[in-house]
Amino acid sequence: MNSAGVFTRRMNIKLLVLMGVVLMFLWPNRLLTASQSLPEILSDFAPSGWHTYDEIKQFTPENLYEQINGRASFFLAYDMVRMTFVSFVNSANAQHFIDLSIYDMGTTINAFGVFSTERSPGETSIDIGRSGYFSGANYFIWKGRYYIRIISSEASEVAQKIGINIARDVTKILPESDEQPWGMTALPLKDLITSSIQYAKVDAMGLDFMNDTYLAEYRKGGTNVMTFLSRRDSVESAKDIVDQYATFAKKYGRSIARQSVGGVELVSCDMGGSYDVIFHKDNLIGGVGSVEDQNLAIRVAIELWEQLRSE
Amino acid sequence: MKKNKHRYTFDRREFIKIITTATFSGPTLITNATSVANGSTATKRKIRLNEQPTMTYRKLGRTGFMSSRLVFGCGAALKRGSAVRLLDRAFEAGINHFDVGSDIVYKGSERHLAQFLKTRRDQVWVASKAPAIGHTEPDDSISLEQAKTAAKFWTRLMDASLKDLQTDYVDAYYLMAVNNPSLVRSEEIYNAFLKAKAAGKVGYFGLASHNNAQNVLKAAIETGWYDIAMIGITPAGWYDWSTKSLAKDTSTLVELRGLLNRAREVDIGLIGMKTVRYLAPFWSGGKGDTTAFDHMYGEALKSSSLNSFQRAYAFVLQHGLDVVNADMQNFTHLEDNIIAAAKTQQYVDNISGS
Repeated sequence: MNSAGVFTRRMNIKLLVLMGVVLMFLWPNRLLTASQSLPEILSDFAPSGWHTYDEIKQFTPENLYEQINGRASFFLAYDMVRMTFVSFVNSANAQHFIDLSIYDMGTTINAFGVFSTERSPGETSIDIGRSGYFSGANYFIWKGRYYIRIISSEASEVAQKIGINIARDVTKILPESDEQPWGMTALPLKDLITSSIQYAKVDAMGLDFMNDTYLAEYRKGGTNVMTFLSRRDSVESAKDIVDQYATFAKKYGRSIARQSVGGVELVSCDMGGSYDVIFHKDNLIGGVGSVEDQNLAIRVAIELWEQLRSE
Repeated sequence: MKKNKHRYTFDRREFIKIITTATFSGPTLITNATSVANGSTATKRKIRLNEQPTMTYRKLGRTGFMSSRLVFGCGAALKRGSAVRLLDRAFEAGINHFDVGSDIVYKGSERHLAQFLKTRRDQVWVASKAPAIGHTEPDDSISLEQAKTAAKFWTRLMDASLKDLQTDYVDAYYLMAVNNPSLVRSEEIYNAFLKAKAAGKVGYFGLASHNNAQNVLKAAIETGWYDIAMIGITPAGWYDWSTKSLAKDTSTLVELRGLLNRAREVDIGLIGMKTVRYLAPFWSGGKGDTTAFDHMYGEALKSSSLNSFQRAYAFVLQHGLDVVNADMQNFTHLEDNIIAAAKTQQYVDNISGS
């Protein structure tokens, strides 16, 4: 290739790179590749008639407290990586603001953990992201490894519309992941109240030995039954958790009974007014909690045991 | 829950009279009238709820409420799964004071607490709180317009709290995370509280501060409006949430007794918070040094079987704080703190006037 050809080829490559950069900024659905770049992308997100208050900020585990105060430890317990925050202020009324917080939780399961744990029963679902719901003009969304909170100072219809538009725009730029939190595939689907699934990384049910645990409600007849599912690295470790649970139940409940029902080894705990049942199936630990009817508690625990697939 | 004719508050007509008069006479009269009214309540009677031999109790300022010295901080605890049993255990151990916060901060916590309150509401004291304003620095002077907006915002959050708690009355409602003395002195906010009180929504007015808390407390004392102050405090002095450290140049708790006594003289109930946060691991907002306060302690406390966290609680309870609020998320922490609150007197030496 002569020198003119080399020059032309180099120019073509440069042009292609330039076009790529231009497209990256012009393409309406550009996807985020790393949460460090969020401030740049969010800089033109202010709705019409609104402006960005102050600068777009990012917080790491070291300084998250500066922004969200007492809630920081909750997010840090789920290993938050970075939080991006922007506040939009109504240009005609400076007291009306909408705060957008995007938490990069590092993994899909951690993002689901904070999303699901913050969710309360009865909040209305919205079809945005992997899962989402709203309360007034506030929106809460999970997508991939991200958890998005949009909080409005007003609960008006206008604020709702602006909020949902922001929610849609933000979720468009955040990448989805193909990772599925393990409990969501392990929990049996029959009678499951899907929106009730929660993931507790630590201290599930207030028990410091119950980590990496899913909690979910099942509709059994006319009763909602709370179930839990956890897993450990080994069968021995799972057995140990069952023993620790029995010790807890002995201390705070009335009595425990170890029983075998249909070949399933259960520990049934009379907690005084309600019953817990716990078992392990290989390295999985499952059970039900706070069920008033002991027979129902045992039946649901056995159903759970039967439907769990060993790993 | 049905309104219970405001068990712990003074006569509602008395308050309506104060507010009506104040409309014509201005905020100074509100202050004086309320101070007199609160003062008249201070020694009238004590409110006793769910007292058990496993816990100790202290009168919370002019409210007359005999609060368990350990307050269950529900805000963070109730966000994780089903923690209702923690609440039951706390109640069983004699904790009668449950502190929570607005959904805007502690998402879902009030709704989780509501389940517990369904059967216990008349046996416990419930306090909640909400921020009134954002985007302010400690030294900012709040404009009238800002104060009006803040009052409206705070009132809206209070109404939301009542809805989430499934009650029409909370015993106390606080200005949350306040770091600005100008906001503490805001008549707009105070009037918002008085209106809520007259409407039967709330009994007592409080504030919660963990940044610039010394100046916030001084302002609260000056106004005479506040019944309760929840302050970020450790054995080594003020805890500053903005730096996750001890406040710069803070006096020690022992040296701060003068200020705390002034608050108590005007009958403000004092609740300590963030007492052990500095000792906690990094992810929990601490420095991870559990020995950081050891140099503050006398021999009896140092050689006790209490752990570092228990010692810190025991120390602040013996040095000017009426009660201490602890964020407890599992049974182990709860049991440890119950012991600290119950045994504080036993381990702390050279104490007077507490």
